[in-house]
Amino acid sequence: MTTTIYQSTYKSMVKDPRGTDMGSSEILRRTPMNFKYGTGEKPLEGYSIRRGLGIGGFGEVYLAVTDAGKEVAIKQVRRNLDVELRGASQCLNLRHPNLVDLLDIRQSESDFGWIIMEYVAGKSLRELLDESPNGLSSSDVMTIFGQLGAGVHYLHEQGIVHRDLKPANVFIENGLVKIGDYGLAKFISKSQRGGQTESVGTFHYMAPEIGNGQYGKEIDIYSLGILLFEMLTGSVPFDGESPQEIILKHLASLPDLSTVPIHFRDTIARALHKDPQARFHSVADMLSSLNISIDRSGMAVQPQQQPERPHSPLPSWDTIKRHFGVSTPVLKTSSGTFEPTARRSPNQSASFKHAGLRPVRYAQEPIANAVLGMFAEIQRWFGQIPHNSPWYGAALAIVIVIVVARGVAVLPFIATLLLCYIPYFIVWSLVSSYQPQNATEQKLDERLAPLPIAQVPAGVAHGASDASHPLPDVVPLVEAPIRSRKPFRNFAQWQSHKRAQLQQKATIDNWIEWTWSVVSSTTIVSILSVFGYLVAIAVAPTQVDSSHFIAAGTWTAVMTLIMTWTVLFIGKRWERREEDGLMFRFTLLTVGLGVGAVGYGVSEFLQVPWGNVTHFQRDSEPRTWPRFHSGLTPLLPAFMAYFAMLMGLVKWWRQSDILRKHRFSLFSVLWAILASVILSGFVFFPTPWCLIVAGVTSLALQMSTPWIDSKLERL
Amino acid sequence: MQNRNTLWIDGVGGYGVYDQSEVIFGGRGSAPEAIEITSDIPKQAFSIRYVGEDYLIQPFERSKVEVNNNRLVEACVLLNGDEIRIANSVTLAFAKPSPLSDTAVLTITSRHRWHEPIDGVVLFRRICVLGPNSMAHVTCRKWNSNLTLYRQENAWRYRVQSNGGSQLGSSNSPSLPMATNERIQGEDFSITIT
Repeated sequence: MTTTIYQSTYKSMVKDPRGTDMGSSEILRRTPMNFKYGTGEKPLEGYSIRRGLGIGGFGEVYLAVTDAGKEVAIKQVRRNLDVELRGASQCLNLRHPNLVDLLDIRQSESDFGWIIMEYVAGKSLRELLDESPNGLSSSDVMTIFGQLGAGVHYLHEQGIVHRDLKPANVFIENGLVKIGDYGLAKFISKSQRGGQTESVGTFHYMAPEIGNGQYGKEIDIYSLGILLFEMLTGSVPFDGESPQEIILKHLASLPDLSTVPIHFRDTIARALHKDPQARFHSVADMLSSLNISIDRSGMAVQPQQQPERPHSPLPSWDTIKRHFGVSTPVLKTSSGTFEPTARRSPNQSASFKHAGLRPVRYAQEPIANAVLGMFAEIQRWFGQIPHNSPWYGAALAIVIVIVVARGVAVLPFIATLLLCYIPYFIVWSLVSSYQPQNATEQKLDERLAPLPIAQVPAGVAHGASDASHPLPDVVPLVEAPIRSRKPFRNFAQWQSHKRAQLQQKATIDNWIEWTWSVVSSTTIVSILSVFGYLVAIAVAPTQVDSSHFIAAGTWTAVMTLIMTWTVLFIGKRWERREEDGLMFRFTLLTVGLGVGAVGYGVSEFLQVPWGNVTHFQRDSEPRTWPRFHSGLTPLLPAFMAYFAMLMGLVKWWRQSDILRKHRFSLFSVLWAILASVILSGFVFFPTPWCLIVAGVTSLALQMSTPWIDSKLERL
Repeated sequence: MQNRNTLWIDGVGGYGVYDQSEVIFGGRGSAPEAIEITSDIPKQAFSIRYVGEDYLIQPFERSKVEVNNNRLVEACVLLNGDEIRIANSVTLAFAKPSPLSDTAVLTITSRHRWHEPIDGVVLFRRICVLGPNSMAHVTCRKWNSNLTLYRQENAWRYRVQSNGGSQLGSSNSPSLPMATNERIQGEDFSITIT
């Protein structure tokens, strides 16, 4: 019986030629916007229509402007005129900050009823939830829900049951929540419960007892429970492919509260109890379970908000600014002024290019911040002294004396500190600043950025009229992106998804990243080369000429750089493509031939005496090939063969991939060295130099390329 | 202001459409020389100028204009997602959602309103796409189609692409004229430009 009532209600909604009931739209998903009146029309004297706002089961709502310029929402009632107007008239004199004000009820010449309401310019809760498919933050939910509850509580106090609470009927303007659509509101006294003759409300938010026609304000509490669930999770607790399925779940299923933050679970569970008597007895009780109270003016009072994020142990630049009351230093460029903390979007570089600017990435290095903060504090203290005060003059004199008397002595100390700071800053930038910041920025930006689109350029063969009125050549006609609500099942799925997103990244950004990686890798290789050279000198036999080591070491450094840059270049080009192992290996193998040829050229240029700097067991002579080697000195074919195989054997592109599994994999370094050992056994190549080239290349690649943490993103 | 239209989209919002290369924004009493925001900011607070493919925001003298919390003293390029704050009061969001079009949209995010009963300002460049996805200049979530609005020989024209612009099975309607004050109504949309 209950199902029949629901079904008949659903059918009546669907059969409505407009099919536009806000409730049924939850199922039909499409709401035709065929408004009867257009912009500028005056269907009601004194009100000029600007545009349609929405279409409900009982009529159309328009934004209109009075002759005096007041914006109002006017609702034309075409169906159930008596029910709607009676409901509205009962609410006409209600006053609460969380209710949309009903201003007047009028009758037009065409016998349509018109309800004139306050116009709320903000978004509906439906729109907010559509924009946040995974739900709102707990603090936002508390703020919205408190006000929503306060408005509903006021209605209940006046003996009114809303009966159609849903996100589309809740509006938020400047942080103030307003409940709208009193079309279904009906006066219910305690002694006259139920006796309803038709089902009301929207399936997803309908209490199970609505079907039997006996209900009271508990149905609003039930709807509030559904709303609370949806605000926290982004989805309704009872969903289905058909109205019947949803209704059955309302009647028989328990909500899955595992996705709801723990401190909301009891409240939702009780609000969604199948037995109306087991629910909260009032909205005030429900709010109270969340530590929200309603004050004497009827407004919700929130508990003291706790910060959601723990404080960082290091003070941020903003904290320093607030603490010390300093203004942020401003960088002047040729056509713009930016502060160090400027956050720019990923497309910054592209736009800056047009403006003749270079993008600048600033970091909040803690030592620099602390020193700047100290100077700012001194400056602030100094600025507080009145300029005409004797103290000002005295302080100025003391500073001048100190600078003149001790400046010379202090300068070397400052210079030493600066010299120490420069390498520290380089290492800090490489290790901690650029990489995580970059990854985090990308992560955040991607959350904000649109998903990949299917782009369909405007065609020219769209009929004769197209030829006469061609559309501009660039038309972003695109598929509506659907954001996934579920985490990715595995790394490969995440990687595939992200790779598709990377295709949207501006090419200029890619090359900026590549340039940065080249600079980073060069620094890393240089440092390691110096370090390696010192070690080699220290451990080398005294009879070996150190100049030989210098030549071999220089060759190693140069080849490592060439290998690294080559892989970075190729890897960046492949970053946006799905992996094709065979093709990638073949390409690298081919490129390796060229790298080998360059290696031979460098070796000849440096005159590296390989025979004097090669390490091998004297009792087992290395296997050399006639046309590949001259003694222990490899010739051009050996160089080309070795580097081609080294490039083809190791999956170098994975080590420079922004979507690689780990930020740094020691296994990858060891595998590169092992591959080198294997290859040098096959085609003799001087050790340990070839091992160093492979190992350091792997290390530099992983340290210098950006990385997105899949674990964080898949949470 | 010259070259100004208002686009009324039923169920979505109203948008002032400006196609000149420079527009000025100001506070109460600044219309018609500037686009007026009902607030206590200066009558001429800042201008947005279209240069090349970029929008440059230029603060006027004595106006405190910030972009992403950075005080502006000279012209600065605006990027998609930038937040503009004027006199620590009015906050605007700048959106240039489609990389394929330079049309941009400004909406107020603080507790202020445009002087006109509109929801945003469209800085029009060749085309403006209305549709259900986030790449559209004006997002119309409940629409099933994209509508591309453009100007040709000083007249408005439009074209509708069904199926939400998907590659397969999509079809473009012919290019059609759109007179001002004429309501264009489709299967799931209705718009008027005045």
